[in-house]
Amino acid sequence: MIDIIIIGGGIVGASMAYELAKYQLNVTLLEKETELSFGVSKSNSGIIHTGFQDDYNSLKGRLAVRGNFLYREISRLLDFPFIPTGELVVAFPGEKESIEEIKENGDRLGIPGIEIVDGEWLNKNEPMLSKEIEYALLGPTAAVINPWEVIYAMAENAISNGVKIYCDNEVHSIAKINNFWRVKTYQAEYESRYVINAAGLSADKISFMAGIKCPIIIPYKGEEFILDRHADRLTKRIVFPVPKKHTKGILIIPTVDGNTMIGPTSNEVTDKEDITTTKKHKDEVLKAAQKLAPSINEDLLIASFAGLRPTTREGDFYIKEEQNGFINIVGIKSPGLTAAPAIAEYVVNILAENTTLPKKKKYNPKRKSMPRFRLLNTKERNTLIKKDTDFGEVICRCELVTKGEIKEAIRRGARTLDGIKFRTRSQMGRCHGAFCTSKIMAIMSEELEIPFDKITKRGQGSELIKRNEL
Amino acid sequence: MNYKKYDLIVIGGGPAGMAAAAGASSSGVKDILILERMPGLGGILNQCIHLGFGLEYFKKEMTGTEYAARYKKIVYDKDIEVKTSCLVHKITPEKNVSFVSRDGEFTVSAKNIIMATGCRERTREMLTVPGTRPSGIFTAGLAQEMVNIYGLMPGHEVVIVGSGDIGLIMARRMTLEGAKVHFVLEILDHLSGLIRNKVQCLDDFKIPLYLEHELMEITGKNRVEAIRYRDNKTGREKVISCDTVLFSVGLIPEQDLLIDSGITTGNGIFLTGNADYVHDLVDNVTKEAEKLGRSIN
Amino acid sequence: MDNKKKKKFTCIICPKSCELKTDGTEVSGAKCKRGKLFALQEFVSPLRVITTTIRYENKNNFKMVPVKTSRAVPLNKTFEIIRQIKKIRLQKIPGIGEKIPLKNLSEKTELIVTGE
Repeated sequence: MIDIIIIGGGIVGASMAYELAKYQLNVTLLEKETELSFGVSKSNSGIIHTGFQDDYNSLKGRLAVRGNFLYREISRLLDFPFIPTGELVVAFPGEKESIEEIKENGDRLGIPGIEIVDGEWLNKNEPMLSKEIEYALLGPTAAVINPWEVIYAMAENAISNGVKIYCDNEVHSIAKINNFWRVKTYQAEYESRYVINAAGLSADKISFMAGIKCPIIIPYKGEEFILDRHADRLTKRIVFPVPKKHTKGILIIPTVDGNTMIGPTSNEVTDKEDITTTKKHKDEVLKAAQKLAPSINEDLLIASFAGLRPTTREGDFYIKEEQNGFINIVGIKSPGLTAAPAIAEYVVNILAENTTLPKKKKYNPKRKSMPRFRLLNTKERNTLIKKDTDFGEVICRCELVTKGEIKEAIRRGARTLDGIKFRTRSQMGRCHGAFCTSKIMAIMSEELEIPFDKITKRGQGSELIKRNEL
Repeated sequence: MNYKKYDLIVIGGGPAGMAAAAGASSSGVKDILILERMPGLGGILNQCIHLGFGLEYFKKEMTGTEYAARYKKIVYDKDIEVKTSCLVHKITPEKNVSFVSRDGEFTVSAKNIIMATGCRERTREMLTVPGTRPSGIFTAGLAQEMVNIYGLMPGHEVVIVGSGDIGLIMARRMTLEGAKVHFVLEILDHLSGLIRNKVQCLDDFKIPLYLEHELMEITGKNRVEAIRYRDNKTGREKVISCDTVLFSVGLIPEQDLLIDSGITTGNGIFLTGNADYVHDLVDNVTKEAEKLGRSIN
Repeated sequence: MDNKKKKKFTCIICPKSCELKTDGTEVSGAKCKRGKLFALQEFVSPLRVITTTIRYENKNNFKMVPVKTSRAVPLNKTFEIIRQIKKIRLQKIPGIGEKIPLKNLSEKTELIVTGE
């Protein structure tokens, strides 16, 4: 019998798995997509917020501040990049009062180091920003991460501590039978004492399946645009405008990988699968970003994507043990990524109210990151190549990704081209995979022992080719 | 590989690199090294199984593969060192060249460097075409590699965006392999590729070319399901269902090695072939690169 | 030139792409002899060399072998010839220039391997 089933393999589900792996529990995570992070999380902006933009009275405000703190230790243990960029909320003429209010809120949340800086400071430290900006609120604790990288790191650690993770396992029914939950997927059937619902956009659907009311999820679409690395990091810090009522606005985000990202938009949509980008929103993002940094222009755009935020009308996170061991984690939109480790901690505390949670005696606190050939020096590279000559065969020349890394990504669970992309950065460079896609497919075909026509971009239905032979 | 200073290092063993090395060798340059990232010489010619090569240079019409084979012989008949399956990732103003291979990472230096790194295709992402990002979207060159090198069939119902030569060639290639190529969209009021390619690849198979037509949106969740396109003359929009979109919307010289290394040409560092600017004909690439090679001393 | 029977072609012999006109006996617009012949042939029956690939496969490996028809064949026979080529199974990888016979065709042609 399973102790806890986690439904959903995004940042919340992965954080839960990572946290619960510390205890003497039999934990299983179910994900409907072919790989973890393929739902809401893969399109996240990757910002670890200070937390000062969320009300000090709200659950999300408190959990974001705590999550920001927890990430520092977790990134060290799990060996993923956590870049402490800091953030700025900038004030154009007439907006100083707004950033003073945010500062006051941040002070109440106990966020360290926040201060208001003036135009002179901005000129010196962020010269690319518009000269019309008069003041900015500086939050030094903000950072950037790659959301999928954190999820894979947490999942790998959890697996090494005995957690079972099953992808391509979409839940279709949940029933309480005596004192356990029966969870059925299209592939299998599970029984568990507890169910933790971390299903993102489908969290309301999952809750209703169990016969439990919860806030309705309203998808809010965000479109983002990535600038070429030739443009370098435009700003050192994440730059926010003064927030509007429901959104933090369109930002400039220096990414972990050295690109600059601009966006996201925020629009309510009806379709939970609507991840289209539009010309209208591209123009909107460009205009808003140019207001912050005038040198941004359309020619610098190299990629775009869209994602959906699982928003609720109520606004705050909804985290609650409903009845008989069903725990809902619903409406985890921004700052959900930041808060995720704190959400996991919070849920463990809920569990601890009704059951004893002894820690594992043998627990592996660590995880080693994938080798990143591009980031190594010559000596390190040669050591790697000596051990395995596949590290001497460059497959993705734009990002200098080797065959050794592609194979390692597959060993760590990559089953799709997107999964390999997220783990290795192959296909993310200037040629967008034009030079390496066939080569990666050949490696996948060999390593996974599947024919070419079974290789997908992101799971069943997204096969790359139509026929194996001409 | 022992550390050695070369008179000339040619980066890239495609038609430009081979010709530059051959030209230099025939004018007496001694220690020449070609560094090629693929397992063999020939570059992109190896996936060009169609005719249209060599008429100017070899005075004979041949396929890209035949042209490559013929020129490889010229290189191997000369005293030129060729190292394949190695990727150059850095060059310095002092003309040190670093590359990665299965034997390790090495740095060699040269009196002269010729960059013959070819070009890459512009992609859907660079055009920021609105819509979804399903599978079934390829550059024409990637589709060409899949069909001609790997023997894979990328799709059945095809729309080609852009009238560049590779797109036209792939319109015919996909048709011969049984695909239905609906049409080629071109945003400009004229063909981008060679007229002879339009005649042989589109007209012969009655594939329409729509000039002044723009791709507006790609739809489909997991796989391409349809595209929306607009006639810019009338402003009318239409939707057609398809499972594959091939992009042939221009080529970009691959000079990123220089840009990323923070150096420019001059002082013994040269660009040639499509890495310099994009050529219509390989024959001209060969001639120019040979000439450059001969001028090296 | 007989205007009624006149047809227009774009020459594909070389990249100059001359615009040719012919009534089946006389040709205008051609800058070379080959262009003239092209127009006359095109008037009667367009001929093209077909290029494609043949798959070689064994347990551990495969290779697509590029080929062309040994001569230009009627355009309207293209798909018939392609169908015959698809039936071919290679026992070994042939060398460049090697000939591969094509059977059961109304057109007499064979295949020439164009790649190494």
